[in-house]
Amino acid sequence: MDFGCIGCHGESSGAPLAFYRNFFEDIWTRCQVYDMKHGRYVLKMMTSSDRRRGASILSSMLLPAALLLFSLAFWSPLIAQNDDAMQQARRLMVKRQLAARGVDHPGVLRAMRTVPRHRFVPEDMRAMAYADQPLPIGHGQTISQPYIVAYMTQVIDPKKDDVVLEIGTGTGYQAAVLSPLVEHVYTVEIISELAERARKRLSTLGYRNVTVRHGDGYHGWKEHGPYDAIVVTAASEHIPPPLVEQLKEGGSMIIPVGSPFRTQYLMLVEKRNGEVRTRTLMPVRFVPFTRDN
Amino acid sequence: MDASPTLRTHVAIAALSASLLAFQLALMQLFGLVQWHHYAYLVISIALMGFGASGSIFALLRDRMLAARTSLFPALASLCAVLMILTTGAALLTSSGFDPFLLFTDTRHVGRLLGTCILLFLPFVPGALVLVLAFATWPQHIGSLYRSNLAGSAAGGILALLLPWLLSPEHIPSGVALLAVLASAFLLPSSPRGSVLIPAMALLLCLLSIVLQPDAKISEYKSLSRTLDLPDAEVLLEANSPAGMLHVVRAPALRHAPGLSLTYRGSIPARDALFRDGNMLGVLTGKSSEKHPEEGASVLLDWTTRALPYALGRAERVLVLEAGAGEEVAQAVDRGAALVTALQPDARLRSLLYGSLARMTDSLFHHPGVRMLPRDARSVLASEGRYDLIVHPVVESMGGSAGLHALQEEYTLTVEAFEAMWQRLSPRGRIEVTVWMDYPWRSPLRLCATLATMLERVGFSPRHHLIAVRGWGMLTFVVTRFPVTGEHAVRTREFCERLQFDPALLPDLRPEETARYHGMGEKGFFRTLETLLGSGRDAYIESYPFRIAPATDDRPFFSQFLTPASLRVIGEDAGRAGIPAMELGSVTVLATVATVILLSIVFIIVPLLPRRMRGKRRGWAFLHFATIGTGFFFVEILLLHAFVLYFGNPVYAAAGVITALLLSAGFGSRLSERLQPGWRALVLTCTAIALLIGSGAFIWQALLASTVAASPMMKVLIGLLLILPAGLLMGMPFPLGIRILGDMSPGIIPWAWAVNGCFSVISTGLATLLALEFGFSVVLLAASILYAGAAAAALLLRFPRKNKTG
Repeated sequence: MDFGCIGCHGESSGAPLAFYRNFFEDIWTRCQVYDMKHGRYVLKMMTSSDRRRGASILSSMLLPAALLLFSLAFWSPLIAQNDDAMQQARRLMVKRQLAARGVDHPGVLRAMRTVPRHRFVPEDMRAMAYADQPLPIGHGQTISQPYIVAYMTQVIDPKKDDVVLEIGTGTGYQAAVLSPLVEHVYTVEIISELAERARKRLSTLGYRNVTVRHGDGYHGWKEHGPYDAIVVTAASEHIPPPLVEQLKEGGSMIIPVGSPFRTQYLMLVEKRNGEVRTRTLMPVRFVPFTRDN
Repeated sequence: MDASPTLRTHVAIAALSASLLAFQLALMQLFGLVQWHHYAYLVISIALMGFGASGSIFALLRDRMLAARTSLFPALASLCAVLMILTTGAALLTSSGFDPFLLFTDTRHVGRLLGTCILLFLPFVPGALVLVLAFATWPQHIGSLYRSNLAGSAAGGILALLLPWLLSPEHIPSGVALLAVLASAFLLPSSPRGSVLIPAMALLLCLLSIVLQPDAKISEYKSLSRTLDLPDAEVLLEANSPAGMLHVVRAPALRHAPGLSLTYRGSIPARDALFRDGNMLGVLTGKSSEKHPEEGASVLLDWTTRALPYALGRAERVLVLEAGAGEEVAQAVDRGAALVTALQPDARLRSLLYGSLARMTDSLFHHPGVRMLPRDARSVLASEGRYDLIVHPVVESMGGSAGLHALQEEYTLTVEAFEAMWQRLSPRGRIEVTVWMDYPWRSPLRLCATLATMLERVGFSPRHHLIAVRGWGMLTFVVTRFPVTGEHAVRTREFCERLQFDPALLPDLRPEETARYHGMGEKGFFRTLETLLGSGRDAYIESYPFRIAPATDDRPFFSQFLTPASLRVIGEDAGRAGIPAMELGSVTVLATVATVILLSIVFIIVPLLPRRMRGKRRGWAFLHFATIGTGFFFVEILLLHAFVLYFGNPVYAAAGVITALLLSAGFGSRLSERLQPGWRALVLTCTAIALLIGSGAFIWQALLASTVAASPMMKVLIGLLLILPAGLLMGMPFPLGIRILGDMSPGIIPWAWAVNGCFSVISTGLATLLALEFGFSVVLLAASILYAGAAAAALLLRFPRKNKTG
């Protein structure tokens, strides 16, 4: 499966209770199947072949683990089927929301196809995890629309040896998408609760090259700079001068302008020959309204 | 029960009516704080829905209720008080409320919106039931009861202006509920036999709730909530007034410098921020605390496009249209202005800026060169005085506000307002107005079209009196009283070069200059600006998918861009989900209006369907009560909008208009008792109203505009002169109609009440939509036609009909 690391990495270092909570939470998530027609998750009912497969798995297990494995075997066919549905939802998201709108960076598309976005949204929002919209994550913050995440990632043209700074970790989804594409992602979140949750989540999911820090993103993270790229995920009414300073010569900074729930456009800040210039990038979601004069 | 209502009954009716109206206005303020002000119209509709539903309930349970009226009167009034407290707490002060941003994607929030509407509608039902029960108990005294009702409502309007000085928004509902308890006490029978317990318990709950009511949970998307989420953020000061709830917040991580140039390399100091109703007004700025010694810069505004007017020349006399937290005032002082006039109509904020906040602003407003006037922009612009620079507050928010202010009258962004500014300019004067760029382009284009139209109206060429420069997110227009010369063009280019901005409008602008530092993904913006300055303006505006025609005093909704055509275009281009993304405010308003209309049909009309009303003249009754209900609220909603221009503040305008209108309608209702109920009286009064309103449609605007500079006292008098005759006459058709039914067909009185309530609900939303689409004058004409229709319908009463009983 695409996100085979779920529940397997990082948990052992955490509290055992958290491990089991995450484990069963994951099972529960996998028992739900994405209903493409209605755009939500529904609980998948078991079929007789599912039970037979479960029974065959059970028969091969040892006695001391029988009780636990019985339940695992009972759910495992559903998990496999649900994984398929998850993958299918992501594949469709990539095809309809990203590729169809011009996102064509192979690495970005691969990352978007792999990162389990539903693990980055609040539980009561999981049914809409792959929908074409931003979702609230509390504290007035959002997890951006999949298209915006993919487009912002593509615009900075990430390379394997790049060091990237992200301002506004949120749930950690943008950092997770960047993780397989660059050498290291440093991400700063000002709201401590969000930072702590994102750190745990990214660790649980095995994103080893992402470092989360709770702090004021205004100052950037000077110790690891200058950066090849800076991704500012939360719109700001001004571009903090320290971020401009920590951008490498030839580097790019991408910033969304406008509330995530309204029409957003993106601004690319480039440092070339000591000069800083910006370029407004229109989301291809919207057809230009220019009239030919 | 007495044969006629006693003085106690009249006092109770007045107290309850005052409570209901003050509760309505308290909900408006509370909605404005926890969500946004455009829900004010939702509150009016919800209240009217409660009145309509009470008619339906009474129609169904008439006999039983009349039989039990002695005990029902105090019980219902007490229930009204209790529900005011409980439902407000449940609907607005907890996290169970709806999220407007998810209304279009998550059906749970549609349910929550419906739940909120239903919860808030509940208190109005028992309150209105007391009124309808009183009307049905004493139908021949309807005029005096109606007068007590309207007089009480008028008192409620005044109370709503007083309570915010004493209580915070979340506690005002508890305060006004006390009046309903008072009404309950007055309605107790002479020998209570234990029924006194009910009002006593309601009183106890009111008193407890004043202490225990939870704090308002402000939307997490408002800037106050976002700021309080920052580490170590703390509220330094809270102060309430009818103009809104003020907060001063200190957060070490808060740095405010909107639109700052990328050339700025200094630090941005954390300053205490000022909020009104959860929206940021700015940061409290000192006179010289933001000095940047390396660059010799003064204030951060000098590093934004807003410094352009100062680059064009010195300004001795500066008028700042919104003093806010003092940022523009500090800039003007720092730039050496001899006299800075700053307008701050909010009395509470004014006293704070002079008093406890003075320390945070380095006593900026005590500076000898600064004077703060307690007046609104339009009244100052209509009076004498000449200025070298008029500074308008920034329009919209970063990235555009997606129509969140679509229903807000913005009387400083109309052609007439800019014309008034032009008249106040000295020969070297200029107007500065800055707008955030949005996409698709709406606000900058509308502003450009408005300024160009104004310049043509005053006989000057827009190409020679308009300069614009653009940063990465903001566009600043400067209108110059003098023709832009080569020297001004040089200064503008130097300014742009120094701060790395791009010129957007200059007489000799070359295409390659327009996006040197800040490229635009989509081409054509500058050609569009050019087009809007010339003869192709009207054709371009006509063909543009959004409404970008200049705003006028007749249609002062600058931020309303949505049209039926644009809905189609957005739907085709961006899909259904794209509509709220672009015009969230407008679409939310449409959705809430539709919700309330749907609920009004469910709660008012549907309950009456299974039961055929017995009585004759149902056709006439329907026409009469539907037309006068719609007409009355068309006029009221229009006055609520229009008087914002006059009083400069929507809360004062609402309280003033409602008080004057209801008081005069109360007198009208009293006068109607002297008329013989019949078709002649109705034809006479309805025709008089139609003529008065119809003629008013052509003169009201000119009358208000010509007297807007008068003293506040004079304006109150003029306002009363305008409202009183109309209110006096409009108070007559309802009691006359009820009395006619009382003689002919008393059984359908509750049904008529329900019809009136239902159409009142529909009319509040409809009036607003008509004003947005066609302007205020058309709303007034429509009201005139409706009253003419009521007069025509009255002629039906001339002809005898068979008694069609159900």
